[in-house]
Amino acid sequence: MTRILAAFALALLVTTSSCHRANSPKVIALLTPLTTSDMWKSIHAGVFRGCEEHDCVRYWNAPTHDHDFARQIDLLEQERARGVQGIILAPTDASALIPSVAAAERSGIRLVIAETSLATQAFPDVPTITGDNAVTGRLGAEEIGKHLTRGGTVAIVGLDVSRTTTSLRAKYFLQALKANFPNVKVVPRYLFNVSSNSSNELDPDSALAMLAHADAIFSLSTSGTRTVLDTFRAGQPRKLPFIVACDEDADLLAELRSGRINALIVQNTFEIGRLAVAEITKPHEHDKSPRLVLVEPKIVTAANVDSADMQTFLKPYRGFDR
Amino acid sequence: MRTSPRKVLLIAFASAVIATVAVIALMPRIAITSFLPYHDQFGLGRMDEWTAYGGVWQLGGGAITNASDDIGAKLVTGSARLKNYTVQSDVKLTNSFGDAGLIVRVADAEEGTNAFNGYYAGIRLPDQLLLGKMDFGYRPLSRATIPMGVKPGLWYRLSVEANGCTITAKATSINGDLLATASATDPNDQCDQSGAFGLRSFAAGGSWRNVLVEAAP
Repeated sequence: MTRILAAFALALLVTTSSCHRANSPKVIALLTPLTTSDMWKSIHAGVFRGCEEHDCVRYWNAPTHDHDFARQIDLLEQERARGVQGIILAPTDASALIPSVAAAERSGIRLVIAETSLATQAFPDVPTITGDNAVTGRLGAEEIGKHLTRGGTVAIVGLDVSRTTTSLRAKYFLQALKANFPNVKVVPRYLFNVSSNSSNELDPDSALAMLAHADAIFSLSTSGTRTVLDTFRAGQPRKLPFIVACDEDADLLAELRSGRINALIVQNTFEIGRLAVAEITKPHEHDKSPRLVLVEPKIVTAANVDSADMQTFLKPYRGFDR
Repeated sequence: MRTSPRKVLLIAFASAVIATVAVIALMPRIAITSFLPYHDQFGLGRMDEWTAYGGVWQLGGGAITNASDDIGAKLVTGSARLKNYTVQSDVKLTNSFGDAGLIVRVADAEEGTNAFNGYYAGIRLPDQLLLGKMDFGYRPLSRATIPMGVKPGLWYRLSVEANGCTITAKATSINGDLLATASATDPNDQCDQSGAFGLRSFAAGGSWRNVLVEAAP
């Protein structure tokens, strides 16, 4: 009698516990700064595609306010504790996430930094997959150089100290401009700090005065581009400068179509997401890949924005939205 | 015949196991029949049964208001085993951006913009009734135009019926005039079959009152 009951209890226990484990898919967590911009929707679509290719399930979450790095730290800790197979982190802040990344690395979880790198290279074993900022800077310089054939001035805006991509884009833009278009001069660099609510360093009138005198503007981020457009919208200058901007969203694409923006340099965040999944799911013993993977951006103008290829590139969401 | 203490213990253990299995098996019915119909008690100043996932929720004037502009705040209640039912509520947007509405068949809810499984129907400025599937992403299923537009500060009556794999959202005026309907059938292998219900706003403040949940006909 005792043996029968013991066997019954053991069978019940085994059945209950195996229900949770049987066929449980591998979960990869994608943690972005927000979910709502086209850039994050594209990286999510890439992760979703990657999971279809590598037999995993994606978990996607993000803070509900921009620049809320504390919430992203919570999410990183949560997913680490949950024991997911890997985490793809597009850091909200290049510095604030470093301690949590260190803890995740020590715990042995597979981690990929995506879209923008951390402010340190202290984690050589954590791969980083980002857009190629050198190509982004060069494309921006070429587009502006082609427009200002007789020379002129360009203002650089949109520096976001919480994102390393913006400073790298500025660096490579200046290098390419100096090397290839020496008659284009950079006017005093008006670098909006967009990482806090006190966004503008100058009052709107001063900002308009500075920007309106430039022949061209190179914007490093969507926040910077929006600030520029808002400044011009409020001030109504007689003539808009030639604007080349990095990254995109639906509003900026509409501005491109209307001619208020002349070119957008768009990162292939779909491919970044897809490669990040491949990186996490490959066997450890085959892990000889480079620790920094750069993905080429594309330049979008009014002439090509509505082509079929570019629309597929810009909107790879496959049924997802926002 | 005398029963040994050991045998008594074994019989008690077996009875406990059988009772546990029976309770687990009957729990869905107990939960569902005891929960519906449901009516909120916001007018009595009570919201004990609701769980907030983001947002700043305040009771007042017989309604509950999310005073934050979180991109995806939720307030959830009800049994995870609820299947076919209709949620109805008066909904009002309190600022001029974003959308607000109702969620059904909610499972795995967490704080985060799209962080749950289930369905969402909401009214969005300037004139949209949205219906979408949530699976830690948002997939639009259907949308309809509200001809008179969506105005901040104005109450609308929103209802969402989850019946099988068909989800139907309706927006009416407070007087009962039908303004828009959006409906979609989720393919069976992807259909969320059961879950709790709740309130959700997206990058907007919103108010809800007269939340009524009934079994679907």
